[in-house]
Amino acid sequence: MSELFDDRFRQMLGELVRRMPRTRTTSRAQTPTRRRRRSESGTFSGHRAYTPGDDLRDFDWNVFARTDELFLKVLEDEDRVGWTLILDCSASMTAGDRWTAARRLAAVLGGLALVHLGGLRLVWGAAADRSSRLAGAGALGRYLSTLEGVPLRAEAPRELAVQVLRQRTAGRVAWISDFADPSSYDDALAMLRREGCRVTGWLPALSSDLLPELGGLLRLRDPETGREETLQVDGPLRAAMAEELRRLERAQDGAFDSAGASLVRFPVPARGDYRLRSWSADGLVYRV
Amino acid sequence: MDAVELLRPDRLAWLGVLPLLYLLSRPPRPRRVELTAHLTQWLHARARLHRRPVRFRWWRFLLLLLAAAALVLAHAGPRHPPRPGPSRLIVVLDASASMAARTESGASAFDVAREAVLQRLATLPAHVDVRVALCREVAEILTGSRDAVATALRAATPWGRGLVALDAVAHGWPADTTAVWTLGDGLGRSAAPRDGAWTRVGKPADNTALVGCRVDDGWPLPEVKVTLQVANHGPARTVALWMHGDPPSPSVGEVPPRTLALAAQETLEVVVEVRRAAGGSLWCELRDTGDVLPLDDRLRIDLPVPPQPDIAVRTAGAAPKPLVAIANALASECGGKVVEGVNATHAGLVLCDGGTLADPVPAAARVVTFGTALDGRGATIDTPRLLDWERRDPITAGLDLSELRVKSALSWPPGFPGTALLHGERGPLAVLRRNGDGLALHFAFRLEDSNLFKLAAFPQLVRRAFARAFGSGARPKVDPAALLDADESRLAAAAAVPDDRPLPRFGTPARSLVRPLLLAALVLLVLRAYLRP
Repeated sequence: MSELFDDRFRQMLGELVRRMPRTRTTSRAQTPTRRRRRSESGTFSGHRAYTPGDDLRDFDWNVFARTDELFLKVLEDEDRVGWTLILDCSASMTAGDRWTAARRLAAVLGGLALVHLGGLRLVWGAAADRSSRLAGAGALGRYLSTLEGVPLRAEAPRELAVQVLRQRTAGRVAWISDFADPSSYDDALAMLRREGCRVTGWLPALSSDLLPELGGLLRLRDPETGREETLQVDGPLRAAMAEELRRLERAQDGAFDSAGASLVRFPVPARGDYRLRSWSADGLVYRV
Repeated sequence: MDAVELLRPDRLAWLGVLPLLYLLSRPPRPRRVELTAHLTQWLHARARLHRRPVRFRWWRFLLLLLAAAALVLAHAGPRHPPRPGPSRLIVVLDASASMAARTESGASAFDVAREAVLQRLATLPAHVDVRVALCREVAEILTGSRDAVATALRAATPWGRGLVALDAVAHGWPADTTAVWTLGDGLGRSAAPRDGAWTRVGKPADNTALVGCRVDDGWPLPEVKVTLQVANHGPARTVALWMHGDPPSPSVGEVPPRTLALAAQETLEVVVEVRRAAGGSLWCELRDTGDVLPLDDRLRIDLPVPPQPDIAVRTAGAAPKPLVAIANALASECGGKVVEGVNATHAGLVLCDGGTLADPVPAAARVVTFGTALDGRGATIDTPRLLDWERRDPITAGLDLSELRVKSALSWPPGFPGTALLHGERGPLAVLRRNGDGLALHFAFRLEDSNLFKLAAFPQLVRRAFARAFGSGARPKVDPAALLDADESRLAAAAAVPDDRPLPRFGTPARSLVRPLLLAALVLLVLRAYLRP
């Protein structure tokens, strides 16, 4: 059993996906394009009563023959099943406790998607072998193992977006990253938007993202570039840094807003905090 | 480049601190290395605060290192070691009239020597003490600062005979502390010294000079006999001798020019009689010499205004005829007159015979007494015999008094002041006294008690006493400014003067380098503080 997904986390994850209400999607919520796609393919998920205006092709004639009532077959469309999760594996994610937090967040999101949406595509690199497609609640264990084995490797956001589109699984995309350089995501987000993807950015927010907790003489290293700088961190510098972080926040929000996407800053629970309340905060399930 | 020595080289061990400075100068090393995805934001925040990156500044460390090294070196007492050598310069400069000889450049030899000295003074190390001895008839020492010495030297001119032996001046100085530099023409007594540096100025040349002058004053007669010695240091030539008063006036009688034919290397003696009435200056000048030293071709004789004193005759009874006769003769010669009953202090000369006189006679009185009791003292002795007379005194020199016979004379007490001129068997028969500017000649006998007035020496005795009574003020004087010795005027002898000897290298005192090093360290530290870390 790994330290990343230890028993308590797995227990909390199981409890989380079990307690969360199953979501359904109505045809009214679908776009014409999606409706068209749903009628062509999909997985049978149940029946519902006919209402005027429904597509006659969705009638379940067998049920009509048995009950003389009109019911429509409800198919889960591809985008619900093909929920894509992009995990940023760049070295910058190792700063702080973000890498662990990101994979746990991915586990939670992916677990919900597997249990409630039935399928998930995990993308952590631009190469074909750096993505994995999973379906059904039974794939949760394999999914967690995959997350544990995800290596750190820097990939350009655009390359990740291309990889997602190459899978022809455009739909809902959850992108877990620190978004340290928001401008580098502009192209990727725009590209996904053009292809009809609905992107939600998930930023495992650390407390230090708002106000640096550092102090004294420090050597700061950018894990991505390896660049190091020695800084005497004191009150004024900390205040200036807080201002810079607020600027970064605004830049991140601006990048997602301009792409018609949303950004969720998920407050990472502290280590050892396995309470459901902590991991289901910020309407996480409903966002999924 | 002088070597540098350290007084305390052991203190250089402090240089071992320099590596420690390196360690202390390095910026503190952070104890923690933090990974951050927001390094860019950190750098922006630092830039907003206008802070510079914490880095090790090599140039600041280099400045600190140099400053520390300078301080350690200063602590070790660096200095330029002293260089052995003299620290005092004695310049012996021949300033006699022969140095006025023109050189090839037209400047005088003294000018050349003076310029050499001034140039040398300008380049001497500051610590060298300089004194200049201007050697003429006496040595004049110029001391003080360099500027004062140079100023005095520029004002000096060559004149007079070189009576100072340069060798004696230059000799005897400790060579390790004092350098002696003699500059001269090497003529006469100004011969090149054996010791010290020597620079010869002037060139061998022919010269005609007035090398001697004797003036025989005939006062109270107006005649003056001038005996000139004209030396010709060269081939035979003919020169003109001019003698004239300055300013031209009837007070000095006109003397027609003379033409002197001088043989080669001949010294000619020329006697010229001049008649003076009221005094003045008499210039004796050689013309048409064409030599390089015109200064010794002319000289000046100062002829004071001859005195015309009144002559008083005081006797106890009737005045002896010889006394009156000599008084009349003296008065007629000098233009005075004979008076009687005049106080001795107001008459130019008082002649007393017998009687008494206050002792001492008043200052400035000129008295010749014959058997006059001073303050009434003195017993009478009979027939005192003359043993001898003073032969070197100007009054009695050359006179024959061997025939003097005295019947009776006053016996002066022992210790009677004055110079005995006539020595009797029982005491002096004539005593000469000086009373300030005056003169008193006391004969112990009256004229009528001796045969002095019958001797040929009698008028000479009285006249000499009369002339001497008026002292040097009445005697002609020869201006010594241009009168050279015969050897000194022999410019051709300069060929035998030895070659120049250079000055030794002067020593230098130890020069400490502590201050410059401390200053350098301070500048380096200020520069380091000024530059931003």
